[in-house]
Amino acid sequence: MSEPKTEIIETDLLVIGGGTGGPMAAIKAKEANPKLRVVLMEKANVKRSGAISMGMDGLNNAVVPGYATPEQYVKEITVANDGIVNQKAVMAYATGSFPMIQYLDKLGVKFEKDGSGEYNMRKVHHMGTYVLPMPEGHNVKKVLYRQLRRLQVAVTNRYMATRLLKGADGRIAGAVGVNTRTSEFLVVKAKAVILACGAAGRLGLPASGYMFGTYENAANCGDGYAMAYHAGAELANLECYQINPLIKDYNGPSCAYVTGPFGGFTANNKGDRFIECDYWSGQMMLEFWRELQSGNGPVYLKMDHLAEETISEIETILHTNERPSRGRFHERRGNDYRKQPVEMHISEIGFCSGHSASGVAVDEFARTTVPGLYAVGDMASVPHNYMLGAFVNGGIAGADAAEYCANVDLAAHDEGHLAAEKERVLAPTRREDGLTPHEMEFKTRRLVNDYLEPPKVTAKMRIGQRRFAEIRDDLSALCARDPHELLRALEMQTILDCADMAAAASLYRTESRWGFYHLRVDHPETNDDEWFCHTALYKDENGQMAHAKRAVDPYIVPVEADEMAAYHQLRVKTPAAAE
Amino acid sequence: MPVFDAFDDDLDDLKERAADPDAGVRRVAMMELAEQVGPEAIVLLLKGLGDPDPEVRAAAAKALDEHDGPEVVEGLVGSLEDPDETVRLSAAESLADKKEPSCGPLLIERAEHSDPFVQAAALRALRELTLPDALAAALKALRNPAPEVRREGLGVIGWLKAEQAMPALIATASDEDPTVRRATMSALVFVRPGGPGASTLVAGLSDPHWQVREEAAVSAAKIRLPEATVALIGALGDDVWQVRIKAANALGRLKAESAVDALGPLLDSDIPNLRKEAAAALGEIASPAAIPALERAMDDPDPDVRKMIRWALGRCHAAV
Amino acid sequence: MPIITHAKSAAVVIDDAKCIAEKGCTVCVDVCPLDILAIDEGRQKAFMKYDECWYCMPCEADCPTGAVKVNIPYLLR
Ligand SMILES: Cc1cc2nc3c(=O)[nH]c(=O)nc-3n(C[C@H](O)[C@H](O)[C@H](O)COP(=O)(O)OP(=O)(O)OC[C@H]3O[C@@H](n4cnc5c(N)ncnc54)[C@H](O)[C@@H]3O)c2cc1C
Ligand code: SF4
Ligand code: SF4
Repeated sequence: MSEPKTEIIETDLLVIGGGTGGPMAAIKAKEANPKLRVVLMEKANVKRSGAISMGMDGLNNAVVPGYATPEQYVKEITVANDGIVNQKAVMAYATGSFPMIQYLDKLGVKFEKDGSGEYNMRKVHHMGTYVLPMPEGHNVKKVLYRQLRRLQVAVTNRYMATRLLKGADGRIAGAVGVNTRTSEFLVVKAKAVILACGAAGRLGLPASGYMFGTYENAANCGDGYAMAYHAGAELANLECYQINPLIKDYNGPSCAYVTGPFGGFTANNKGDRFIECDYWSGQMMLEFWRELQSGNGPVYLKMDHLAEETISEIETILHTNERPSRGRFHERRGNDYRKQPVEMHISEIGFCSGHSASGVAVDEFARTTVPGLYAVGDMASVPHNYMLGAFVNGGIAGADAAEYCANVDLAAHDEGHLAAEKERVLAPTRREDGLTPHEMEFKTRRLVNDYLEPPKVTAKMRIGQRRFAEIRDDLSALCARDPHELLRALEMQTILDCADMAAAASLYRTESRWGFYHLRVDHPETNDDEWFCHTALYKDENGQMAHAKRAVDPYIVPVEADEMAAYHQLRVKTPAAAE
Repeated sequence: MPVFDAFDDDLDDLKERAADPDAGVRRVAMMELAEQVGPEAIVLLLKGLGDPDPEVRAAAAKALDEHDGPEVVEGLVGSLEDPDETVRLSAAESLADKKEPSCGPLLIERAEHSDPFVQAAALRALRELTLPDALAAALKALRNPAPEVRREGLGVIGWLKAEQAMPALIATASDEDPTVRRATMSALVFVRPGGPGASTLVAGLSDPHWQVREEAAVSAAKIRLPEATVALIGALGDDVWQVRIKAANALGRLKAESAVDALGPLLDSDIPNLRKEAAAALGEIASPAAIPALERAMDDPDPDVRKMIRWALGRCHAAV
Repeated sequence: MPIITHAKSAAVVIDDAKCIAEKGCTVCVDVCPLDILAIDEGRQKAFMKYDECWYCMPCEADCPTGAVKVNIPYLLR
């Protein structure tokens, strides 16, 4: 490959990731200040990128007046995350939730409404009502794209951001992008950067062995986490993995949120319900995993007791939005919701705050610990955010960044740093032969499964770390023969960074917490005396991975000890299965 | 490859392709015009709606989904009468997304068109606009021979929360088509307790079709309609368990103490979801009278039901 | 180490008779989040170039002529 060109552009705000939170950040920044120069950099194509590329089945966490209050929501999220939350950030989401629904509605996103045009909230459990279905939710991306077009946000599709740039004073100065089809560089100098790169969904390897058969959009391989880490930002609670109950092999959502209100439920091989936890959380995954271990598995999504009319309604929703290939998967296997329950399984591990509580540490304004750098959506540390959270926090970040940009000038980035990054990116293209990105990624992810999955065993995680170090040595043989292979080669390095972070974070917290997500065999108890805190992982001055404890900010919505306990007492008491 | 590949306003190349002799090229040009901004793109697309090739027309109708303005709506309304079905469907779909109040009169006019497809599409687009002026057309639609037109008419009326339409809704509550009756029950969700229409909703609980009964129970639950209590207690014995579940839920929301005796036996049902809903309703009602039944059910085999029973017991005890 | 290639089945299938890439269409290639589709220069038809599919289906949903069929990859079928 001949040496690729470099183009340098200047803007006020750079948003990286055009999935869900990113577009909303760009939109709200432009709305706050129409004169602001905003660039949206996307690895794929904004039209159809990210978790909601085909739309969404519904909101899981809508805080709608008359159905739930922000205080109630904050309390439930606090309890569901074993108390380790930044309540201010959760509250910022909760109060922004309803205005965002109205805003999306106005833009043309379709939420389920009843016969008189009011939102048709569904009750899934007795604690609060947070589910707002979107049976016609396939147009979300279209609506976002239309608004970006109206506001004339500059979009650069097919550029993968690889590293952030910083000024001498530690402020953010922009980012480096690489075109995924030409390998040309695009350096964007910016006063502020909002990271919205989604989850780290290609961390573990799906049991099928198909590397792209992940729950998350496979383009979301964790670049945001790696970029934030290398820029010196703190990452919080990464040991709180994402693990999901999914349709076996298909690895898509089993969609209890959709089928629940219609009467579907998760059952064991006797057809009995066994999950007691209302919330998609580590606790629920623990119950799920124990059932699989206990000999009562497989676990199923049971719908065969429902009426034909109900099943066809469910099918229309599940097979048109979100993951429409689900119908095709079932068809090939002869699965019919009417006749037999659908086999489910537990997913490989990943990072994602959408369903857990880890991510780049942010405050209630979505600010990270690096001045001028923001993070939103699945990669930011606001727990259980889901789609609406990505929108709300994206909007918060956009508005805050617009204001920030008005008060600062562009920082000058370090040219040596930029040159080094270009060299790092291009290194795999300078080799004629060696190891392929595909096999190096496969091996990294296979080792993640072997050594990092819960139940977490100290000795195993240490072996994992040694093996990851070997792979890191092998990077000197990584070879990319064209721009597409270079894209995968860069992603593979991100995945390796995330694997290292997952191992280090898990070893640091010497207790068990968040149910299955951080179940440590050598430290089986929850230890509030020592570990009622966030953990921060960051790159120290010497370029080493370092850790620190960060206090949980005083609650703004008090949660009584017995409320916390009451939640746990609701659980089924099953004997712990053999590890 | 240009850095900024979206939202170009350079139309010269597209203009040329939109006039290409090859229909395939024109079609692709229409598709790309969806991405463009500005009046010129709209002019080209509106022209495309009159292309001799139906695939080009369909592509234009689809691309107009991305553009706004009264002239866009007018063009799409015109295409509702296109001879080609794909074009008509694309136009109707694009039209449904528009929220252009200035087009109300045009849509209202089309709501009385002779073709039921055009009527339904116009009514659907009118629903979101909630224009009081659309009421007359919607009322007329309720007498249309095509059930889909009647359903869309009900949608418009429900969203308008038009009490003056009550006599018509009472009539559609005995429509021959169950989907229209179900839509009526759903539209009646704006009824006020004690107000007109309440008895129609109550009567819906004994409709011959189960989905109508279910919808009536859902609406009664939403508006917490006290006059439905007796009928809802009756619906706890419905043949279809879906209706029983919705009735239990409604009685919970109504906090209907008189339902406690009828809810208790549901805790022995074979259907776990029904047991759970009954327990939840008893918890909502929070009457000490429910304690014995709940206590008997405490060892339910289903953990979700047990949890609901514990929660309900907590609330009943607190009420003592 | 020298690099060798190894054959895979293509789960995403394009019906050449329907594909109008020769008229300038690149919709499926544009929307694929994993960037695994391409237009064959010689035949002027779209095809699956890399076995890295998330079976998400924008390619199929957005294709104007219904030429794309996304099958579930064999490993998880
Ligand atoms: C299958 C599935 C079902 C779900 N169901 C629901 C549901 O029913 N309800 C609900 O509320 N939530 C649901 N969620 C969660 C919700 O969709 C996500 O929480 C939310 O969309 C995340 O938004 P985001 O902006 O963080 O990430 P995404 O929307 O995934 O966007 C990330 C973007 O960043 C881009 N990107 C990544 N790396 C780079 C890079 N290096 N450079 C440039 N761009 C990059 C990606 O291409 C992508 O477009 C579901 C998620 C999935 C995957
Ligand atoms: S979208 Fe369809 S018509 Fe267009 S290039 Fe792809 S396969 Fe061909
Ligand atoms: S299904 Fe998704 S990943 Fe696969 S080719 Fe189509 S757009 Fe690309």
